[in-house]
This record gives sequence, structure tokens and C-alpha cells, in this order.
Amino acid sequence: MSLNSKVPLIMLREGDEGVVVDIIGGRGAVSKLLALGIVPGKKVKVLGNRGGAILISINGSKFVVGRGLAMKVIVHAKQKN
Amino acid sequence: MKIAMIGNPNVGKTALLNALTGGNFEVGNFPGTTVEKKEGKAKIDGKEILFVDLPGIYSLEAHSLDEKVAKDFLTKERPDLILNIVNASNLERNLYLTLQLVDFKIPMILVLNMIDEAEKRGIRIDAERLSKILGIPVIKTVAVKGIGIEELKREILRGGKVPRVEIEGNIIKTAEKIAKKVVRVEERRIDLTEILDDVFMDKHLGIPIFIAFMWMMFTFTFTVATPLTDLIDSAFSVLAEYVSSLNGIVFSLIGDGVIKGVGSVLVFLPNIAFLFVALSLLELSGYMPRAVYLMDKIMTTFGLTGRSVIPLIMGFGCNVPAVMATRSIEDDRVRIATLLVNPFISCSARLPIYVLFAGLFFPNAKTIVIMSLYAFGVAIALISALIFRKVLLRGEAEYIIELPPYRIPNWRDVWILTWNRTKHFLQKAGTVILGMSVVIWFLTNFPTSNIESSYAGTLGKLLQPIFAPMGWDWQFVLAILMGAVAKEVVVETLSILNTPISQIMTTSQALAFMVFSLLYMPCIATLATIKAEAGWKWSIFAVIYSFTVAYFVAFVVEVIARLI
Repeated sequence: MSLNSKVPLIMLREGDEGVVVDIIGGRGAVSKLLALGIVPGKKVKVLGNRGGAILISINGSKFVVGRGLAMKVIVHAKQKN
Repeated sequence: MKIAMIGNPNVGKTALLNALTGGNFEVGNFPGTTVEKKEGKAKIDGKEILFVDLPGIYSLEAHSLDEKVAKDFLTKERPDLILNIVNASNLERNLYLTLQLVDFKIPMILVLNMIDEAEKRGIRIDAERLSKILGIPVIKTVAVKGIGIEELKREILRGGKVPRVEIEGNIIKTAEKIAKKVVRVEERRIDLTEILDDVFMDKHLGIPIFIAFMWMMFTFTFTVATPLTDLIDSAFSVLAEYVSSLNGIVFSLIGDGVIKGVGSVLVFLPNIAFLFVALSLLELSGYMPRAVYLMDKIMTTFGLTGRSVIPLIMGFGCNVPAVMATRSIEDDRVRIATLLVNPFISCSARLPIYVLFAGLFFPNAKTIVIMSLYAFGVAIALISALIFRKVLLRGEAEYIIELPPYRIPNWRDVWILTWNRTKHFLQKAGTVILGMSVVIWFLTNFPTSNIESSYAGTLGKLLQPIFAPMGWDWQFVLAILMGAVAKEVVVETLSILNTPISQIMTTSQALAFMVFSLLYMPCIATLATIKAEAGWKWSIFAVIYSFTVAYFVAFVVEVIARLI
């Protein structure tokens, strides 16, 4: 993964961080994510990605996001290490 | 005075309603099937006040049913005051909803609830400044401990204020700006939630801990409740026997039909109530979303999600509460798929059938045969789920769940949740079972009370040809037919008929019979629950699908077993 690439959230690995840049998908999905504070500009950290739903931390809250929905959140990946 | 209570899910609205009304409220409908709207009456300084607790929502854009209900209420019923309850730990996000409420121009009070949790996390909120920015009173509370309630009551009597906020750009940006002005985050101390999450969601320990919790829940539901179940069972059978021993057809109807029927529902009651106590504890403690995360990978392989795991495991005890437990699944297609396959999970009522037949035909391999049947049921359930999701209930399940901090459940909340769910079971399943038991009573008692020559016996003989490919005698067909009411009845029927099982059945036929009993159809109680949870269409589908699968699989098993 190159530095500063735009990828779906699901591509990040455990411990990776990124910044939300866009949410793609239907109005329902978008508004639900927005209402939960998952909006462009927010920093997101992946706490767990073991092949099923993804565990993230954003705004000081933790969420379990199903893989389908996590595909729709586009992030600017920052690579650790 | 009519007051609407609005807030995101998980902000402690119900606890606040309890604190304001002293628990004196009615629950409108059950969440999941219909939308919940609670109402509570209270007197504050002699003034009668009606509180309406709207469903927990994140926004008012009316995408979901909950949001529509809330929006309709505000526009059509125009409450006198809005109590906007906010989780103090998450002010910025909660403000999206607050800012949308401004448009209604209804007097408002902002309640910063769970302020203790926020402070523990090092979050300080300047309530005065927030009050100035929004133009409405802002009260800090801890509803579960009764902190801030008196102040809130005084503010309610003053009637709140119509909010005036300048929206700069959009709501999201405005919320962010407001939050920046009033929230200060101090050095965060390590809190208990972080520590517990490290353990409960550990890569290696997470799943074993989950299994341990499930085992505990299972034992609590089905072993701890056993004395109560036995008590109800024997009380009803004594009563039924006494009444039916009296002379006259009316006593027979009441004893063998009505009392036996009601008893057969109430026997499930302790299990269901205990299960709901356990589930409420898991839900209110905040563990549930963690389990969803842990199990998601395995379940997505079969088209389900992490949400389906608990209902499926519960099925080993009894499919009735298991089907009811599917309510927590937000995605409707996943929910339907999970409840439809649930009856394939072998419940405890089917065990006596396996014990009887495996004991007779496989005396040396009894345990292996029984274990294989359980595993076979799980396999059929998961394969069916995959087929349903690929063919009938297509579409990606999109879900997101917030992980709340862990909390020690409050007994009053546990009781309220348990009672509401249990009541629902009694009403819905009770009526159908009652009706069916009268029908069964009629079929077995007319034209003569001898089962072989009764309508039921005649029906068994009539239907026997359908099962001819498996080679079963009419007694077995009748047992299956009667077992549709409750699977325990299969063994009971065979014993009433004095069936010489090992003389009139081959080993391959017995194997096929066990497989058929495992799969053939949900019992009436489960079916009534499926109907209540998913409607007639799906309950009829469940019968046809499971019967077809059972018939086909039993036939294949019989043929293969015969050749071996």
C-alpha cells in the first residue's frame, strides 16, 4: 500500500489509521454513517480486521462495521511504522 | 402538558423516563416488529404531565421507520416541550439530531445524561456556554442514579425555550464547531471498558470466552429453570387428568383439550423467561455487540452475520425463544433467514426420539449417532441459510453497531425487558396453541376415543402411502403427525399405540425416521412464533421447505443406509 492512498476502510489492517474522505453508496447508508459521526475529515483507527466485520474507533467511540458497509467508507490511509 | 423525549439510541432515555415517572409507564409495542413508543404519566408539583418516549434515532431524515415515527409525532402532534436527551460522552454526534430539532420551533430542554461516564473518561462540558449557544436550558443528569432529576423537573415546569441557533454551512460543521467550544477533554485515564475489551475481543481468548458465556446462558435457561418447568408440567397434568376423569364430553374437552393445551404452552414459560433474563443481562451490560464482532467472520460464510449466532445457539434448547431472539437483527433479510433455519437446530424436545431409536437400533454407537444428528441439523441450517440468502433473500447486509461502554445492568431494566418479551410470547403463541390443542383433542377422541380408530388413526393410515418410500408403518406416520404439535409427542404416541418398534422397522428405516424427525417441520409453538415474527407467508414457507428437505433427505438416508 503506498502512502496517502485512497482506499475503502476495509482495506486497512489492524492498527492502521486513516482519515475519512468520502462515503459512497445509497442515501440510507450515507445518512446512517453521517449520523453516527462517520463523516469526511474524521480520523479513524482500525482496532480489528480479522476477515469478518471490522472494528473501528472514531471520535472516541467504537463501532463494529459490517464488511459491506466498510467498503463504502473511503479513507486516506496513513501507514504506521 | 405533553412532553416528547428524543435522543440517539443508548443515551439512557428509558432510565430517564423511569426516573421522571417512577416507572409508571406503558410500553406501546415491541421493538423490532413494530416501532416502540412508550408513554408515561407523572405529576410534578401537582401538574399532570404526559411523557412520550420516542424511538432512539440518530437523525430525522426519515430513512427508517423509527425516524418516520419520531418526525410524524413532532409535526402532527406538536408536543408542548421536547426533552432532547444527549449522551454526554458523545456530544458532537448527538448535536446533529439536536440541530435538526431546531427547525420544529418547539420549546426544548437539552439533557446531558450519563455525565458521570463522560467525566470518568475525562470529558468536561461547559453547560452554561452550551445553553447560551443553543438558546435553551441545559441540564446535567445521571438518570440511573437520580442525579439532576429535581433540577430537570423544575426546568420542565418553566417550559423550556424555543432554540435559536445559527447553522453555519451544514449541520455537521456546526456541531463540530459547537463541540469544540464547549467540550474539553482531559488526559484520559485507563478505563474499565478498554481493559475488558482487550480481554473479551482478544484474538485468541475472545471466542473461548464467548463460548463460556453461551454455555452459562444455556445452563441458566435450561437447567436452572428445570424445577419450575417440572412443577408447571406436573401441576397441569394432574389438573388435566382430574378434570378429564369427570364424566361428560365437556370435561374431556376442558381437561384433555384446553388444560393440556394451555399447559403445553406454559411449560415453555420458565425457559423463555430465564432466557430473556440472560439475554437482557447480555444486552444491558454491553457485551452483545462484542459477540457480534467475534462471530461475524464465521457467519458471513453462510450469508448470515455475527448477529445470527446467539439465536442459532439458543435453538439447541428450544426454538421458540430462539426465533424470538432474532429480533435484535437489524437487517430484515438476515433476520428472516436466521429465523427460518432455526428449527433445523435440534431442540431438546427431539432428544427423546433419538434416545429411543438409537438405543434400539445402535446400542453400541448410541452417542455417536445422536451427536451426528445434532451436527447434521446444524449443517442443514447453515446450508439452507446460504441458499435463502443467495436465492430468496439476496442483498448485502449492511450494518454498523456502536460498542457502548460496559455497564452493570440495573435490575429494574432487566425486569422490564424480560416481562415485555415474555408477555408477548404468552399472547401470540398462546392463542394458536390453544386452538390447535382443541383440534388435536377432537381428532384423537372422535368418532371413538381409541386412537387407532379415531380420526387421527384413520388419518395416519390414510397418509401412510406418502411415506411408503421410507417403508414406515402407519403408527410412525401417526407419530410424526401428532409430533407436529410438540416433538415430545412422537415418542408418546408410539408408546400409547404399544408399537413393537424393533419388529416392524429396519435399521435403515429407523435412521431415516430419526433424520425425518429432526428436520420435518417446526412444532406448532415455533410455527406460531415464526408467524408472529415474520408473518403467515414465511411460516407457511417454513413448513413446506422443511417438509420437503426432510422427505428428500430421509429418503436418501434410507436408500444409502440400506445399501450399506
